[in-house]
Amino acid sequence: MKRTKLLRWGLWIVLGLGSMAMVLPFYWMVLTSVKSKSEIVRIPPSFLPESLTLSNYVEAWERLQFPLLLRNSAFLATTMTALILLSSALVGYVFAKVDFPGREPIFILVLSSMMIPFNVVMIPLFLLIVRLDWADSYWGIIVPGIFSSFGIFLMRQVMGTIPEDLLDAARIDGASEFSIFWRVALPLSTSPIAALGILTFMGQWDSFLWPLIVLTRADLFTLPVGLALFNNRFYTEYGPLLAGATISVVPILILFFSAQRLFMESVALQGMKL
Amino acid sequence: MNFFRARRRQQLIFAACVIVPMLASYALFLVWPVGWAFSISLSDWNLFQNAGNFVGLRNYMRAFRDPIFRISLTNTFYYAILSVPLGLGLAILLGVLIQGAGRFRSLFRVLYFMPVLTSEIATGVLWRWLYQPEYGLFNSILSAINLPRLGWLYSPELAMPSVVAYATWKGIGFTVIIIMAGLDGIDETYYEAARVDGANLWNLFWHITLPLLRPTLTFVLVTGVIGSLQVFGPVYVMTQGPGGPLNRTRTMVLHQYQTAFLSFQWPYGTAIAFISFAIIMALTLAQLRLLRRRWEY
Amino acid sequence: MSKRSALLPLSILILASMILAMAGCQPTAAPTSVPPTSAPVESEPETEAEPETEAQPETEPEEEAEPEEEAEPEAEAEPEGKFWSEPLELTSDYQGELVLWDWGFEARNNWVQKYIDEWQADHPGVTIRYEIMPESDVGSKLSTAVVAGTGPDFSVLNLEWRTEFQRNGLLEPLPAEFFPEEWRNLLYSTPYARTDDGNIYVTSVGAMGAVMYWDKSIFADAGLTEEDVPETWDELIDLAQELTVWNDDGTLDRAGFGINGMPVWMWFDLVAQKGGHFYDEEVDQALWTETASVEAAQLVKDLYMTYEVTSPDVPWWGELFCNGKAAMGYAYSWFPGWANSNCPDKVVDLGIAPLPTFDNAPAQGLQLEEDFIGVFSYVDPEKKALIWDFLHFLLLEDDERIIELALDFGVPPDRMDLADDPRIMENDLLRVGAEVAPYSVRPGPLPMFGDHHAFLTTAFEEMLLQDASPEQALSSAVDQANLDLEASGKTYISTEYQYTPPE
Repeated sequence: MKRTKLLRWGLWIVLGLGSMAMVLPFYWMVLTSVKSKSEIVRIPPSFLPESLTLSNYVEAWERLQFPLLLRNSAFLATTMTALILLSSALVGYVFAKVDFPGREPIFILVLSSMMIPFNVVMIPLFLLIVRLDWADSYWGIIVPGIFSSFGIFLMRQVMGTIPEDLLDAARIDGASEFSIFWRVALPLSTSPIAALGILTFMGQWDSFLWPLIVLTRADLFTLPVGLALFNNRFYTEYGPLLAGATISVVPILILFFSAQRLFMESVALQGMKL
Repeated sequence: MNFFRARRRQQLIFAACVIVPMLASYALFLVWPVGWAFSISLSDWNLFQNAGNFVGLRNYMRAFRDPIFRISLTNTFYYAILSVPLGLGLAILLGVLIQGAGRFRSLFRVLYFMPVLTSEIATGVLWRWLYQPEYGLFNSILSAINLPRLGWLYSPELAMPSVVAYATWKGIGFTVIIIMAGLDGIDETYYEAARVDGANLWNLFWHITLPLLRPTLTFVLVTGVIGSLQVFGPVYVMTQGPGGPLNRTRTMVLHQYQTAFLSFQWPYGTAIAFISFAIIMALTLAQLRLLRRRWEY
Repeated sequence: MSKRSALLPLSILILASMILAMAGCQPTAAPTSVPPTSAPVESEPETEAEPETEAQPETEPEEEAEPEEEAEPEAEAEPEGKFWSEPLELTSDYQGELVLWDWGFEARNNWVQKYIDEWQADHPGVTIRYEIMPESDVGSKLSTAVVAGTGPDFSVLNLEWRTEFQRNGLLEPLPAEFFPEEWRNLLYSTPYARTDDGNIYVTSVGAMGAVMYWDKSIFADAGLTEEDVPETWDELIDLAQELTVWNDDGTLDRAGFGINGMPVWMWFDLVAQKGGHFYDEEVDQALWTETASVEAAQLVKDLYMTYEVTSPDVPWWGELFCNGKAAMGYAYSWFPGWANSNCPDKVVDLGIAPLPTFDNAPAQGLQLEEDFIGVFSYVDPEKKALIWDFLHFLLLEDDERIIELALDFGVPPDRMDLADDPRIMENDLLRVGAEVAPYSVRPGPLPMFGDHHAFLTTAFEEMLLQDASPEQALSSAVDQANLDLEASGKTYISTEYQYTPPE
């Protein structure tokens, strides 16, 4: 009994200290965004601001068109996340549970897309996009991005753990493969799907290089592209940049918190013991 | 028998409906550009001219002769060897700990995810300050307890480990989320049954958690290796571009990016990318083979 | 399924796609745009016009040697000399849009936009779409767009990419009708901007020479004034040593001369001061182990290790200055702007002075022209005519505009005749910049292409972190650079260089 209590205390201490280390930079980012510019360059940096100011936020807001950028980023990130979740789950399920000829090499092909640095593919891909007349539009960003190897791989691993007996039971009942996927496999994977959703959304929200290349019209810019304007060749304007970065983190945090309820244990397998 | 054949056909049609569009997308948006890039690596085309000449494997031979490429190869492996085990071990530990935190599980999950959320620029600046030899926090702590100050990012020996520490801290939340999702899928009943049999914490972990976590761990390991061999962001942000003191943090992708885009030597840069691709592919296939176990039960 | 059976279909797949790719799409993907095929046709008429003006170069050395006296004859000739400020007759009735790209620098963006609006008012039916991009990853974005044919009609360029575009015939030379020789002779940058085919490809608005900064309050505390600002390196060493403060625990409290982040750039200036070069004329070999270069590197190293006026462990000059932790320092012309934005209360202490020189040094340091707009050669000729018209309007028709930009942007105008404008004289940075401009040189291409800058950075790291000797460190950098020059098969554009001894 005592040992467990000690372990419990140890757990809290470790987690607690660790989380302080984790949160520190976030605090620092928010802190810097409300400091005056001259306080930002102070060495050694101050951990409690001497004076608070919203001037960086005002400046960022004025120099960039935040509502537009936020809207664009929200649209793109949401659309891409939805598409990627659906496609990854479907493809992952097929890789895991349906045996078809060529399954193994095709899977290797999917994996191999993660092994090439993006900037190698960037120019030929852009040439292709131009030929398809998708340059400077969201099509050029969305269509190539529908399938994500990362998502497919994860879903394949996850769906692989679903006991075959469950699926066979449904098959014997005459259900089509798609409805087995939709009604059996998917609900059992809510937790990983939620995880993938958060990670994908964040990846899309922060995506910089490809939108930079594809988009030229300022009214289509996403948040990271807009914020990069503060990153000049010789020096970075930290105040407004971090103000903008803080603003751009808020939606993800909101999403994270609201998705928490999905991170529950998958619908219990109890009672399914055959 | 008919039933099973019909079933099988239905299954295959379903598979085809899913896989074929995917293949088409990969063929168009991946295979074609990669093939095109590969043909560039065999030429001397410099982006702006009309066409280049076929030069065979000259660019690849140049890579092998290039001392900086060799350095970047070593650096990349060094990074991977340090960061993958560290990341994996730490993530498993944290995942299990947070899982045991009861109702505060959600809170900790978010807290440990914060570094992932915070912009790379912000975290980069902060950590560069932490590592600053004269004013940085780390050295201030060291000298306060009478230990010698260290060079951190400015020291050729410590530069890479310093970057690894930063990268691990920045990315751990990501891995923890995935592992926790995997842990969520492990049925409580297994643990209950084992406890009834008198298993202690360690047994539970070793004999139940780890094996049942295998598919997730495979995923984390494979993607971790692939990711670490292609590391760019943390290195770029920590050591400002070229690659640290005496090129000690110049990884393969950094070298490739510098060559292709900053030096406008596209065929050579692309050749480097393909060499690294071949290495990563070989390692991944080996991993998959080694880790292959049936996970169905 | 064994590994072998997985690899076979996979390799076939990859091979098939590559063959397909190679067969179906040669790098001639570029022709989807209008591109380089039209370039030879376009530039012929231009290059023919140029050779006549080649006769000019002989007169230039004389002009360089006496910039002070030049101000007067120019003033007298003013009414005639400024004939180019008359608006030109329009030679094209193109109606539509012209696209200009720029990289975010607020002062310049606002200035350009203002005059775009004015010009558009005079030219109904023609609009200039002014797109401002983030500066990071500029190389990726601009190169990719140009290759894909979605690039702009004209764009702000900088030294690094300008050379690459120029070499590949992507830039249009400045036509003499719009940018007459008389005007070009008034620019400091002309001798260096002129390439070996006799053309100039990028308009220039500013010329920055080598300057250094000093902290007025630290000087005042030590009982020093502006008179005491060092003019030679020996003087600087003495003064910096006096003003450097070390702590007992071996850390640096106050640097006498802050260089961090810029030692390679400072070395460029020193080499230029000594009359050295970076590459030979054909740009086949790097000349970084010549005496001048080695001596210059030795000075940099000595500042750190022998005279100990600074340390590799401290932040760069800007952060030090804002915190009052450096007496003098080396940085570029954007620094006052940075300081204004980041520690506006401290800017009042910022002193600017020319960079110290060696005794009997042939020159003041590097001439770095503020590159401005270049026009792409693949653009339709009727669009080009309008673009030249706009640039003429922007840069030649009213000197007030140039001065306005100089004041906002902080770079002295690239015009010898504007050097003594009272507003320039009043502004410290511009005044010093204008002072040093005539004596600043460009000894051929700078080590800014390829990885050469990185080779040099490594060399300096070896010198400062591992106490390597300059000869050693520089010679391994030279070896790498020569390998790179050979392997990349490039021939770089070389420009002329001349020196003017300071008084």
